[in-house]
Amino acid sequence: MISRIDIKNEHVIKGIQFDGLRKLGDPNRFAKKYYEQGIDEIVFMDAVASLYDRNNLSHIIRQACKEIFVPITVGGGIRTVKDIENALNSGADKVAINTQAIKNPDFIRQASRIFGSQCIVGSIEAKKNENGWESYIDNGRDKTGKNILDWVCELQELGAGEILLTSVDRDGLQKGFDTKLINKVSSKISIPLIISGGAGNLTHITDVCKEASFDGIALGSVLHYDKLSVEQIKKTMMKENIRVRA
Amino acid sequence: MKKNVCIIDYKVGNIRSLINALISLNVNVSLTDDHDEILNSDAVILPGVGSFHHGMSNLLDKKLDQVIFDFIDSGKPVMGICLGMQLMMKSSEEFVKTEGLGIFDGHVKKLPDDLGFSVPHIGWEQVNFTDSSETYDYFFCHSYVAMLDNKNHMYAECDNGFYKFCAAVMKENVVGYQFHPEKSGKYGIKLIQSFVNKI
Repeated sequence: MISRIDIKNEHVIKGIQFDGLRKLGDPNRFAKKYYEQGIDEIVFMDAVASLYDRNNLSHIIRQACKEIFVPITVGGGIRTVKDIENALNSGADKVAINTQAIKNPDFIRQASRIFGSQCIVGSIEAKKNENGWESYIDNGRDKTGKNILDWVCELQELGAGEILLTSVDRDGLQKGFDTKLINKVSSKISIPLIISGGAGNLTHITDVCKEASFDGIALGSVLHYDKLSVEQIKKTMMKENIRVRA
Repeated sequence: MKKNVCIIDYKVGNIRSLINALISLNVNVSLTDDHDEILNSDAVILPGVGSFHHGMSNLLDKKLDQVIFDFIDSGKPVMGICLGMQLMMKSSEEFVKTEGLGIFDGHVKKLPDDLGFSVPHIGWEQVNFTDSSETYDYFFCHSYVAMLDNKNHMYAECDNGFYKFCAAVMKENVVGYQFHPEKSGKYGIKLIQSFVNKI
């Protein structure tokens, strides 16, 4: 179970379908709380970085890894080998890349050769269209014309070690996951799949665990708004015989 | 007085979390390749991520192999993590066959990738220790595993349903973890704490 913390200008933010962002507070305070509750990984996502050509989460990561002893992933605005180096030197274990992978797929190949595929996460923002699902960049703003099911195969081929799949349609709505999308994607790849976007209550989480095949689940709104706690979700999952770290 | 823990600096991987974990346990931490500083410390950690061959040649270039042997002979606690643990084996077949430190009777081989889980193997796995009936999950990130010839040194095993492999080794004052205790939440920190307590 992963907590996904979207950040804009030093604040945790959460919107609906990546829009109407609300400020919620200090990212490190949120991260520490989730760590203490037993979260398995933390994803820090600079929500507007790719729009402004920057990623300035380094000091947040530096602080986080002083008190958080689980894997940390950083995403948003990772464009160069130097950006990855900076993120890893700040204490991140993995980087999630979307926009730059679309603009220059070879960047994924290059990055996974240099740093190892274990630290390169292919991040995907999926929106439904009439032919299936299309990949979006810049936080759900721009179409890419890439079909999600082709794009995940390409990412795996290029050397991504993991896929973070966000359903833009479901993001922040708290109305459940896009099970169809998840199963379609997982049937295409052998690398671990992390799903994101849609959790609103315990049933959404246990349902998607039973109905879809994936490796990890990233939660935002349900945790940020204190609708559910990490302990509470894990307890329910264990009761339902869903494999989760105790 | 605070205890001194040395992390051996041989230029492999990100050790920021390990340093932070030790600091949180209230010990002095130094990251060094200085022979005297290592030998004078209270405990030594050999960390590492990356390739066996590269790691071993860095150790040999800095003549750190003999320093590690001397430190072990002193009876003070030593911990290897991930590649650091693998380097304690006799040899590895990663890329080219390379001799290791030979502290443990074992060799390192690639994880089979046809058993239903992906390699590199990354993620949380339940680990069974030989000296405890309690099992917890720890965080793994590796493509190679240690195969022990002398099973008496097996300290923990992991069976993820696809493959059973060595998760930790122990022999007198030396312990080695295949997983990353510094990334394994509070149960990982507990292992580092009990290591520090041995000083």
